[in-house]
Amino acid sequence: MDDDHDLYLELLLRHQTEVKAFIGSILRDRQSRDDVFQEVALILWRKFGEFNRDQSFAAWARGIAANKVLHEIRQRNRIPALLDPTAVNAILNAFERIASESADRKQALSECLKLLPKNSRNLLALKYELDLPADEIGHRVHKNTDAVYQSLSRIRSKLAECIRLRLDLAGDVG
Amino acid sequence: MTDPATIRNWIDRYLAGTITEDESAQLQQLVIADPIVAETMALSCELELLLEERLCEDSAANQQTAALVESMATGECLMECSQQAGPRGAQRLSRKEVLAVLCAVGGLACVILAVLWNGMDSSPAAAAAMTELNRIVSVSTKSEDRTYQITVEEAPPRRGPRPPRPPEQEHPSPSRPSLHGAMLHVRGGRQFVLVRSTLEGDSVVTGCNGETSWLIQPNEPVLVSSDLDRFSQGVPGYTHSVPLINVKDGLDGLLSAYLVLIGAVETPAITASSDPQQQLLVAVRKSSEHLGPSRIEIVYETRSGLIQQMRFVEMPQARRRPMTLLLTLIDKQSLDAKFFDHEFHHEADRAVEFDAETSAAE
Repeated sequence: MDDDHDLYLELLLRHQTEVKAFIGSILRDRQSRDDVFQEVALILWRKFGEFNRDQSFAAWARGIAANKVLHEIRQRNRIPALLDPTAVNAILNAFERIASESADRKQALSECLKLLPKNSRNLLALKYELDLPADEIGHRVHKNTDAVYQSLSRIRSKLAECIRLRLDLAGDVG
Repeated sequence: MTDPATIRNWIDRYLAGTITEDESAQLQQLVIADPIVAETMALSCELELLLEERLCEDSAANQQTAALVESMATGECLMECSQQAGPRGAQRLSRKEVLAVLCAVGGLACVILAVLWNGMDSSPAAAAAMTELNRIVSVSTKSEDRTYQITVEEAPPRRGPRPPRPPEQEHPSPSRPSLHGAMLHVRGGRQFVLVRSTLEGDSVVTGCNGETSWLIQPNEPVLVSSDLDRFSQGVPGYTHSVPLINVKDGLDGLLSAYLVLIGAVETPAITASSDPQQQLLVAVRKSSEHLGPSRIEIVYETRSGLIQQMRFVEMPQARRRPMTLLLTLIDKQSLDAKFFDHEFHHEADRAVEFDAETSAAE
């Protein structure tokens, strides 16, 4: 039992980002996402005895998370959700396809963030660290809300491009 | 057929929560019909979460507080660093932000400036506070070396119901250095070395010698930068790292940020004020609108003005409970002349990377 517990925690900690990213792709509100993630974590623990150790824990966890998210969507009054169940499955399949390089992307992001100019890092910090809404960010940096959205979008695009280039480069070298 | 730019725009607006129902319906159809669009969506959502995790991880209690502590004890260094760093990223910030910066990054400096510029308040209490702060600042910028030990006090329980956080947010990563028990060495208000330890017992050393800042982490090259606040990135203080090039703009806010008191103030944690040789100075934040600790308590030697203890009460942290820190002076012995250079703290053959100041985005 203790071994199970340790293994479960190790796997959950290793793959929590992938599971939470999937939930967050459907449930855009952070609190809803975190609430559902906690519930999924409990379900995973209760069902851990059924987990086939030869399979991918992340895929198993995402599958259970998808069921939970779909259940939540059926109770739409409870939490906001923007995608219908068919789209949820399409997103789930997409996460399966991109899963293999998730850790590499995380590492690459760390490197790419170092290359950002200070004002871009500031903007990201206001958005992702302080979790401020766009209008508040705009107030703080003297930009209108649309300009904040555009700047954040540009920064994310450049980070995504930087990550892709680094992964391509690593692939070529490897 | 929808062009990629439009799809990209819809995904951005989906992430921002500003997508219209019609656009959302079209995006959903594309996600279902086109695996590439679904993958783009998945990658975008994953990037958002990675950014959130990474930036919050960087701003975790100890690192966040480290920057504040560094700035508290080496306020002039950070001011100088910020000035050297130039106006990048700061010129658009408002007066309110300037105030927030001063309080969050340099709480002590904020208090000091609030009093120094408090020309309109000519009350005896304010005048006394100004005199004492002048003296403390003067002493703290002298060249004597000082070593402080840092203690993290337990945070008060959160008010009201809140669902439990996931395990990873309750328990910090084992490799994350802790401020509790950390040592802060200060020279002349311009140079510092902060030594923290991870749970595995490895040391993480951050420093500033007045010309370069640097960071030494286990199993990583030593990082050195001419940007003196380079290694404060990711901490809330860093978010507000405004150079003090336009202090007047923040003057009104500074005047209203903290109420400075001297002497008989109730301080359960710091009892040194009962010692006649020591004096207690307390700065109380007037409004929760202002960032920074709710209260700053400074115990100093009455005669010399040397700071013996500093306590930062309920410092706000991003999505975490406020933290209270105590810095206690434990040593005044002179340190080696090279102590504030990174070379003093690692082996000669250790790899060193200099920050290239590259800019890949925006």
